[in-house]
Amino acid sequence: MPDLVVVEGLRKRFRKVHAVDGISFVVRSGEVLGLVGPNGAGKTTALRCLCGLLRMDAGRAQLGGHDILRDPIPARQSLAFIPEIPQPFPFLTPFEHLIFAARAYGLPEGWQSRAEFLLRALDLDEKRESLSMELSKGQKQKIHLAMAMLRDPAILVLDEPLIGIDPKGAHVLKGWIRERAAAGAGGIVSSHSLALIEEVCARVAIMDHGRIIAEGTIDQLRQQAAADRGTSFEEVFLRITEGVGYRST
Amino acid sequence: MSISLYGFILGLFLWAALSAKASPRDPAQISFLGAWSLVASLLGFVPMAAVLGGFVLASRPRPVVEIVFPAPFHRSIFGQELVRRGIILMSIGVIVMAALVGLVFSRLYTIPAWLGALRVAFVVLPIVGLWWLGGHFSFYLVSRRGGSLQSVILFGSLFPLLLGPPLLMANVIFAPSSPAARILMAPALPFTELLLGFPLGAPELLVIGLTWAAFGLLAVLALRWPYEINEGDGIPVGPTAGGLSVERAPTPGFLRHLAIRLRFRYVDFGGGVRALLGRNLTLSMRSPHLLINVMTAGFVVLLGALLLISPGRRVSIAPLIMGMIVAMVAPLGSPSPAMEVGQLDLIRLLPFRPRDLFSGYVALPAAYVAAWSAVIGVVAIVTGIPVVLALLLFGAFGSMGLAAASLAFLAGSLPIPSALRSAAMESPVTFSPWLFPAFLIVMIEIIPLFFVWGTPSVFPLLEFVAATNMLLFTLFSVVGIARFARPL
Repeated sequence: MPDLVVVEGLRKRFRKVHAVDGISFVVRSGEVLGLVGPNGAGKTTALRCLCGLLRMDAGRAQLGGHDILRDPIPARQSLAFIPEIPQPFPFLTPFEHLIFAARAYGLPEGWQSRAEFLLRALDLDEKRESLSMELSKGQKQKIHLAMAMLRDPAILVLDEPLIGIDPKGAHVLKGWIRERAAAGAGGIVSSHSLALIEEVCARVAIMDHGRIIAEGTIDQLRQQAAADRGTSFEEVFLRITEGVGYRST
Repeated sequence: MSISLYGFILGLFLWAALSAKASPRDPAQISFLGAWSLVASLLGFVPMAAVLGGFVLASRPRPVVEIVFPAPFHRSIFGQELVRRGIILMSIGVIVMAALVGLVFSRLYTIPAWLGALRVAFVVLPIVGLWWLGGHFSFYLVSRRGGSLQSVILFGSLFPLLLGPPLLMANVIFAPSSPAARILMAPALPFTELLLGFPLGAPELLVIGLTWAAFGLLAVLALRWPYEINEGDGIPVGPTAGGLSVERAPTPGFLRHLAIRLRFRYVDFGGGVRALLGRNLTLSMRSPHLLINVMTAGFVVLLGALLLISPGRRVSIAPLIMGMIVAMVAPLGSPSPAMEVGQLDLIRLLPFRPRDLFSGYVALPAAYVAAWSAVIGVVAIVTGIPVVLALLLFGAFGSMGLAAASLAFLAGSLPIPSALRSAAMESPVTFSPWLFPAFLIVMIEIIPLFFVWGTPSVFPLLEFVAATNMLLFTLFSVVGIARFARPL
């Protein structure tokens, strides 16, 4: 399986804070990597560096075989990034976002029927004439999602994609991630929802203090945490990150 | 301490402005009407300063407020600190502008550069400051009420901006001795006389003194006001402020209703960078760009009509005012990276080369500026201005607009303060503060033109302005494209 995403020795520092401290990982075709970790672990920073939105201090990132800094256009062409905080264009409607995405990414004719389907699937058809500034956070997140789904990219980078999204939207998103992986695409999902990670990710990388402290399938992570097969992923995560579990007093 | 410092600066200005004996090399060379138009325009433009003043508290980083000043603490200290910084920044902006204008003055007249700068600063600072603080207070106070009242205030501020200068012009042309004209001209006259170094009588000194006193009083009040800053208070910076939570879509207010009703159909130009051009053209016909474009058209057409029907060359200064408006709104009439701070991730991820991105953003303002500058040139020719001068006007205003538009592109690639970044996450429309130098540059360039208008000096100055702006345009474009070629 070819490598879709290659990250080597990625470092990013904000003044004295090492947000990302030399991480490396690979995502292969048909694979979805889960990125989890405590708040401030460096997940979002890593994803933003990987997508070319933030300058990395050291290391390199390749998307679909293209270096994100040296060869950014084909790298971006194959990438869909869904940010943690949705910020669509305030004075465009959901459907107009899809027109713009289809044209900007040069989709072949016929995208309109796919756009109509996505608006229905994500419950945005009732809001198709509303400006995005009138929509709730979840609906705005769905606009980003629809723009990504419209063009079926080879690489998905999703940063907390479920925040604000209703159960139906979450169901559509998870189905799409699995469908894309089955079609040979791949990507990274960063989330605090361990259930989502368990459901859609073949492998998981746990980040803490800017470093990947554990990586592997969930079973492999259980072994690293010296946990038995019945131990929940949440418990495994807490053991690896040395978190203090909640105890009722 | 702060009051002493402001008092010292005020005293220095007053002493320098009143004690100086330097006079223009040739008083007849000075266009009094030009200088008066400048000050009157300044008075007309202050609502914009007032609107900007309203955003002082809006740009506060809410998480910082919550963490540093949790509920039991008095958060007014935070508001006062923001106002203090705002006053300092505004003063620095005015002083820098005055210093540069002073340098130009020294080349035109026998006035030393420092004196010219002090006079400009002494005239501009209280007018802008007074309205800025007025805007700050009115926005803060109405934010305690509701969104509709804020809309009324906003439109109330825009109304004089739209109609002020044309009304002033109309009065000067048609009824210069009417009571209305006298009332309209009165506030600007003492400052104009001070700016030109004319001897001041008691009434003029009283007007200037009262303006400065009002500015000082309002500044002290703003610095000591017990602001109540809580989550959701202040200026609603985004639609979330109108809803109960971010999960609930906000109730559309008056402005949003207007935006929905005045919906311009989406323009689909096709693939690639034409997609960006089509989107930008669509957005330039929707709020808030639509409002700005309608205002520009109204301004230019009204002033042009006044110029065409005025007897003789009485309002020959009108092309300068028209050009100033066109150049100032050039970066605002259509989307620019500086006005899409929140959406920049979407933009930066597009599969476009930076130079295509630049074309997609700058083509539209360039077309608008070229069209309006051509209108100004034609109107000027019709009113009897030499063709060479009309061409120079076209070149100067066109290049000013281009420089401003390219700066708006570059501004989107520059890091913004964390406070604004925080606001950008909440607000649908967030300006980069690096956009504001564009207005400053236009003002610095246009002010000397008001003074030399009607004299032979206007020819070399217009040539200089056009050449400088083309240089700035090239510089901003190259740096902007280079900055968009790499991550932030």
